Amino acid sequence: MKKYLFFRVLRSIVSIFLVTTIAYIMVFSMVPRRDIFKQDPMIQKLANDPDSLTDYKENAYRKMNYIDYFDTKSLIAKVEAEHPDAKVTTAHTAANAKLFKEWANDNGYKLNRYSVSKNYYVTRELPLLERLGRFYGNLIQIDTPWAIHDKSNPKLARYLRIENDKTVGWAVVGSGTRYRYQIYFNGSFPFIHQNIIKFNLGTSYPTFAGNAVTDVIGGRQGQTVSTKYKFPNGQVMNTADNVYTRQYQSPSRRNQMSYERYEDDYTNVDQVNQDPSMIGTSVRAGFWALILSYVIGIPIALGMARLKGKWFDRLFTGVVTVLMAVPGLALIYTFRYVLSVAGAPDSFPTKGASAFSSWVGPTVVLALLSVSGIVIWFRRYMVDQQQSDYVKFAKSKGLTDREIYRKHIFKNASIPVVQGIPSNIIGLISGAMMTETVFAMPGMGKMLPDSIIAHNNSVVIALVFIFTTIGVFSVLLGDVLMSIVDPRIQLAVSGDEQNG
Amino acid sequence: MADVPEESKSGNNMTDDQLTAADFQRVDLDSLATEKIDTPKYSYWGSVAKTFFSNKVTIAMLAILIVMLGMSFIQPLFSGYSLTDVGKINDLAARYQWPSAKYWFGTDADGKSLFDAIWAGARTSISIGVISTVIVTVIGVVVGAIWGVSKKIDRVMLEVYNVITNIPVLLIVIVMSYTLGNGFWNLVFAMTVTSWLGTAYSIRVYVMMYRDREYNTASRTLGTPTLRIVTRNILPYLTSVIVTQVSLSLPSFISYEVFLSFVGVGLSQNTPSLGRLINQYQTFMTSYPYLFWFPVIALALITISLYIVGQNLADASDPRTHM
Repeated sequence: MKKYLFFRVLRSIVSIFLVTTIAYIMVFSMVPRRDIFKQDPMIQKLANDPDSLTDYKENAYRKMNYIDYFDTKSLIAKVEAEHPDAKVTTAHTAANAKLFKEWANDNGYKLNRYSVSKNYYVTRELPLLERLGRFYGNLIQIDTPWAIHDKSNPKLARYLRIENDKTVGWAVVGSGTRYRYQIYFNGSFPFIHQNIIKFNLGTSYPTFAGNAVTDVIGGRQGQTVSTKYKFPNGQVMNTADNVYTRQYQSPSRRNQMSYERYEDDYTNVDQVNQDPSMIGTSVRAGFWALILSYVIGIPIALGMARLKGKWFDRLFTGVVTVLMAVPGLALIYTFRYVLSVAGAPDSFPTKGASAFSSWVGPTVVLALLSVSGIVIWFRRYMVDQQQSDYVKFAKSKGLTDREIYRKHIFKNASIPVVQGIPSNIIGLISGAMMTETVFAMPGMGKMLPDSIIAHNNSVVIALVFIFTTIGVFSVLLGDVLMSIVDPRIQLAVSGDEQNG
Repeated sequence: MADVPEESKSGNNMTDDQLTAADFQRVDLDSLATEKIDTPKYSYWGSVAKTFFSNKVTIAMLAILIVMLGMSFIQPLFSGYSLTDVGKINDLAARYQWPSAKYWFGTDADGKSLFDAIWAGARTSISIGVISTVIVTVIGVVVGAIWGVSKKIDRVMLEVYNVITNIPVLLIVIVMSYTLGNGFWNLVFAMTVTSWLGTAYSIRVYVMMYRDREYNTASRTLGTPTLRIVTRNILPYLTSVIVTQVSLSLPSFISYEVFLSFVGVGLSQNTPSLGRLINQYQTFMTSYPYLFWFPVIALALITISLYIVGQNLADASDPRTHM
């Protein structure tokens, strides 16, 4: 079993890797790269200044890992590093040009000139494999006391120790690390937090320009909230700073006020926002929708199976048929209309994430989208069980229908409930894309169409990665749960059979 | 036994009319006729039609379906509806007219008839659904049949299938149509490129189930090649399975198209579609509800009738219902 699970997890990781790689190659080689500027307002603003526009565009390509780019200043620095004796300037002399050309040829770069100032800059096309290598190479970042190398701060201490910190209490505190607090505790779920292992999925552009994709998807949203903290300098005050995420900031860029407050080099802080992150929003709505769909679906399926062929069964067969056949989008609008008549807000931002009523609409609609599948599947199962020998035997013993259902069929019914969970989760992802878009709910499902329209390729890849991971691991989880619920199922054997 | 005396009695009554040899005629032994076993004539498709048309709901849905299909494919030929036509854009009086005798479904912001727009859009949506379904079914059945009989292919295909089924279909379709760019055939390709795996898998399961039945073992013993076993002995049994798949995939493809057009990827700017209409008019849900609800109702009628007709055809084509 352990061996089976190990190989199963390994295969799951391989399939996530495969899908993400294919998506990466397709998105970055087939979508025209200039499309990323289609929705960018900066292009209009810079239209009068061709040099800045060129610089902006090449920088954007560099951020999205299309090219390597050095503007005149960095180019000179690079050339000087290779020829310490030569005096390189921005002047358009033959000597300078020769040095630039030499350096560009040696390093595989292409030498270009800005159209107005005629200054030199270099670009290099990154081959797809190198881009993929960078993507996966930077995917997982592990923080160590040797992570920060700052020339302007040579005396930075390097340690990891357990301290009772004035601000956050007991924590594993690091210096020389990216994050100040490596492991810390607080009141929010799951109570123990870490900053050691972080995912890096690239930089978002053109929407949320310059932010890390993981922050866009995983960072909290909305207005900032202040909390009262005691700072290392003894001051007690309200702040919107998320003191747990203090990151290293070079003394050259330091904000003196924060430095006085924190008394160390870790002054780069995120803000605490009031609304859950995109991933949090989607997971929260998806989780309750999953539960709600079973709460609605199973009693209906039970009723249909017990009253097979009667009006109740026929009525809901009709309802389920309509739910199956009508396109999701039409259903979502219809349900939203009905719910708004009943008083729920028809758009998420109207009342915001803090209001319970905002969540009612999307969650209920999401649940209703998957009810039809559950009802059909569960009714079929119950009808089959009614014909089975053990039920006939129980009946012939003189047990009432109630007893048979409660004591016999119901225990077996947990099997299809568990069996259906993975496909329901995968279905919820598709459902979430439509529901969140219609309700303007700031979750991952809405983010995918949004980022596709904005040509935000990094976020598209990140979402493919996240959705695939959720899908693959929910199937794995479903199989493991199945073998726990139903001891007759042995994963290892069935797995071998599948292979043979 | 009881009729023997009866016969002799009648023979006695007819003593006057003597039978002569001329009354008899010699008939040669017809070897063909002796071989014939006299049973009521059975035609599979006749039987399917009989079961299919015995259901009143099916007939009603079929009528709706024929009307919808007819309107979608014939009406646009006469209406000349085009998204790029802006002839009445400056005619304020023509805008936002509620449904009337002249404009059955009212007019939109450009003074164009919604009635025309719906059928032009429905034609695109149905075309995409039908073409994609045909492609998926043909590839799915062919690959599924090969997959079911070859163990080597089974190994590879199962791995591919396991990877693909873990990913939401909508995710594949939306990313594919994003990377391929907008356009009718690009969208068809995006929708079909992995969807055939589902059909192929279900065919594979049935082929595996039937391939080791006794009649196929017998057939193989008699020297029937595998290709013939699959095409003649197995696939005809799967008619109802294939029809079920078709009736499931038609509405789902239409649904994907609608969502993609709603989001704004997939079809190019000048192609009318029901998804585009729904997206365009969702803001008028309270001010001009007819603009929003007519496309939704048209869409629902198309997919429901397609689904129910398909499901009932699948039931009717299952030989077990013919008894």
